[in-house]
Amino acid sequence: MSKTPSYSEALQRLEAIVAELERGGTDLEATVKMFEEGSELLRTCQAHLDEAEGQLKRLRLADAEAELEEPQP
Amino acid sequence: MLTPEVLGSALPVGRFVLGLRRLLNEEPTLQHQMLRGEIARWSRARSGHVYLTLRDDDGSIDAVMWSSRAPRMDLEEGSEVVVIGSVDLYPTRGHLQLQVASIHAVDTIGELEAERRKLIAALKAEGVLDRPRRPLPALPRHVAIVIGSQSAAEADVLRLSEDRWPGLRRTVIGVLVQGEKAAEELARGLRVAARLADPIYAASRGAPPVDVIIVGRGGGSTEDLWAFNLERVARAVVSMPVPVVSAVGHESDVLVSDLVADVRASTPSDAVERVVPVRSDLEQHHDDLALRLEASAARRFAETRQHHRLLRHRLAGAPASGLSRARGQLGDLRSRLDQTVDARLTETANRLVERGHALQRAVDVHLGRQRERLAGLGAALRTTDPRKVLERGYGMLQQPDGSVIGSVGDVAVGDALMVHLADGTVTTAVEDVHRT
Repeated sequence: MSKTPSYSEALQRLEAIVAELERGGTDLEATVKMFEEGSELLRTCQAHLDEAEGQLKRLRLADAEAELEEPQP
Repeated sequence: MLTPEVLGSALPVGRFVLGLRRLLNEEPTLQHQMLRGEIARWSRARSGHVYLTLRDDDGSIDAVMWSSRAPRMDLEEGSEVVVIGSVDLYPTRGHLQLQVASIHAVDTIGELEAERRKLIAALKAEGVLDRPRRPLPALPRHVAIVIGSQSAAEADVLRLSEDRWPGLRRTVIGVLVQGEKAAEELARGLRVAARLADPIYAASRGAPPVDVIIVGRGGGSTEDLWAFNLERVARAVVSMPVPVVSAVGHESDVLVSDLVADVRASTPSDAVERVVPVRSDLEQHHDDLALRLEASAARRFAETRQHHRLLRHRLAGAPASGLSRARGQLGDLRSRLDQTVDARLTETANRLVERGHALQRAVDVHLGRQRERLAGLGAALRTTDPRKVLERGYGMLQQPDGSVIGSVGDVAVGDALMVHLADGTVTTAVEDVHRT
């Protein structure tokens, strides 16, 4: 895939893969491919969770506006 | 000429006025009466008492509100009001007036309500109310919260969101949420949030852009919440580049901000529950999926292995007679395949344990080819199986040492021969040899 899928896209695809593997009937090569893709999707999902972590900022309106105007670092 | 008798029967005016006052005070319909009218005069004395005149088309009455009862804000002359008051007579001047205990402006809320309805009608006509709502992000990366500065609602929102997602990236913009400046501050706060949602601006600050906005306050009276009914706030909400949750603490009234937002929450805490997932729940879901992925893939591999075993058994069941060379070759192939399959499966199992390390594609292709070749050989074997031929009435000749006789040159007169038929063996001797 050229671009990292969004969390929902990744999760949906992962759920579809697991469901298909659980249904059975995939051959060895397809199984390996799906397993690899699923593992990659899991990593993507987890990475999305980590991305939500960050700072808590509490600003009064005037300070928030002033900060917007500050020259960027 | 007035006689003393006449003079004696005349009431002193003060007594008359006081009597009249007593009469008025004792008449229940004149006490604690609710009256509706318009303010014809409004004047606040230095003492803080308010003197006013109430009127309508049919009459008017002077009234007074003692300073302890008077509203802090002056009401405008011409405003429609409802008052609760009692009739009294000021004896010194014989002045009848209404003592007002409370006053409610009908007009203020009425006018505001009319404006609110007009705004809703305008928004509806513009299609704003029917525009498609944006879904909340499945996973917020940066939540902007425009809320009463230092309010209990702010504390609730921060505590609850931290519980659900420890360390979630949040920016709180504290604003005034009631009073005259509330609408302006809410709109400005939303503008700050919109700026933070701009990907280019966010990138320049090294933070992910805001992807959802919560705007709200805790509960209050209809008047307290009124800013959320004003056009300025409504327009700001509509103009936001990312989904907005209206989060004003109230159950029954619907505010204009609720109507225009992407999502309406009943309280700021409710908004947090809609916006912020419980991180540990998501992680558990991931773990479940990881387990199911591993287990199902392992089951597929085991099945493949079982399939290989089956092929091997079929090979082992190949005819023992007359095919020793082919069998030898097949045995070789089989053991090589065994090794390959075992090696691959072991490798795959290891990779499974490591989770996410891939088998080399080339190896799989190779394995797939081996498997196909094996299957092909099996099929070929089945079609050339001599027992199938014997069933059609042919016999296979073998020397007692087990070598297959394929030519008259292989035997001499008197040699013992074994003839294999479909259901058994006949031992016989060569009587004559004749080459065709």
